[in-house]
Amino acid sequence: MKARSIMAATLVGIAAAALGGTAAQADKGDGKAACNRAEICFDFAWDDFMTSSFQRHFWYNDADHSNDIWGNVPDGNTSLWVANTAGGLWNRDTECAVTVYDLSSYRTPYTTFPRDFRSPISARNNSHKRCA
Amino acid sequence: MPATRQQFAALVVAAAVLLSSGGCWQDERLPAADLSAAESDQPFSLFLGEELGQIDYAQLKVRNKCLAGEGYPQNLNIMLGEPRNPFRHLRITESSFGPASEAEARRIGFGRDSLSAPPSVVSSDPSYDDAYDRCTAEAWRALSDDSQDVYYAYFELGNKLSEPLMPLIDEGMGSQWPQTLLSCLASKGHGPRDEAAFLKSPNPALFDVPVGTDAAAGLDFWEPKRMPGTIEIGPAVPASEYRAGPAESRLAVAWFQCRRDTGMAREQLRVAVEVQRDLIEKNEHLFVELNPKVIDLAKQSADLIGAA
Repeated sequence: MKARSIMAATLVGIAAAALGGTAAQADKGDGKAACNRAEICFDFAWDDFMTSSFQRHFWYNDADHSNDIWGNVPDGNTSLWVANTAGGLWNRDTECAVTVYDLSSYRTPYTTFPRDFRSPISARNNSHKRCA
Repeated sequence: MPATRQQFAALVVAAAVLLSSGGCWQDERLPAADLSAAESDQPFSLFLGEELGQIDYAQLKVRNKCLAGEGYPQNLNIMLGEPRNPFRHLRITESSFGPASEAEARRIGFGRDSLSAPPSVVSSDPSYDDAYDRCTAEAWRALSDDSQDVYYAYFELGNKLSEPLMPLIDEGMGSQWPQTLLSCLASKGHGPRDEAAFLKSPNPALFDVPVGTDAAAGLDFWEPKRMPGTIEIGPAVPASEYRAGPAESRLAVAWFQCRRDTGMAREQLRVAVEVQRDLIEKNEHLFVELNPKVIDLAKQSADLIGAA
């Protein structure tokens, strides 16, 4: 299991409380298995996006990855949360770099992805924002 | 044949330069990197985030003008009006650790304000996709042959600074601070529902205080129609100010006062400077290699936009 610490933000007085609620679950990009242009695509296990299983796609920001489950799951297991389990990211947003945060609600910026770029990421992901 | 003394001396000098730059050769056409900012009280000012934003903006503008020339003005019409530093969070100030004043704590609680963002642009037109790829490559070439490589490498450097920053500051802070904070908050009438959990991880959410909502949440419902041959523009993301509720305000003000009065805020800034210097030292070869290139590219970007 990919571990993480939330001390970084909590010691500094920043809430880790989840925001966004049900709205965050509606944005799933184009709903297709492949990561297509303009989508922000997370991948559970980094395989350079050669396969399309265990991915989660977005058009926009998401303040809480702990209410998102991995899509395109071959065996029907849809109980895995995206939060803190991502192994790769492909930013196909045409306008923005995407910042991935260690905590929900855009707390503690962790890694920032330029446009048209994909690579493995650390599992510390709880929210993401475009042009942050 | 053995090397002459002069040849040997030249080799030693070359090796020293190579080692001092962490194994990377500097581009001799450019001025050497100035690393003096690492000794300031803002060591990460050595990272050229503003310049990176200028390069990004110039590439976008040239790309979008190219797209417009091919009959697709959508991206040009919706792009931001000015460059934006994608690593603003590497400017480490008091605000990096929470509200910097009682007034700010009262207004913003534990939340954050958001900048505006352009809409998502979604293509269902293969001709647009071809033009996008062509214009993207053309825009990078307009900057320089290696501009895209330098751009990506500098993002990677930014992330080498960003990712370990807060965990290392926490490590450097020592283990006594959660108890200090807990005692101080208790003296002001704020007790968490689970003290053990607080001591393990001092999280404001443990106080059962309602927090504000994400102003951009409604955008998540947008779905393009995906009609073949169309380009669709999603909703733009407006700038928004976070407004804390009364209970969140009260807790945030107490939290701010405790961080200030116990010396925790001061200690965080002190440790943060040390951590920044350590991270710069660890990545010095990348600054030596990339900073001159980024400065040069940023100048070319300004020229390119001026001419575009």
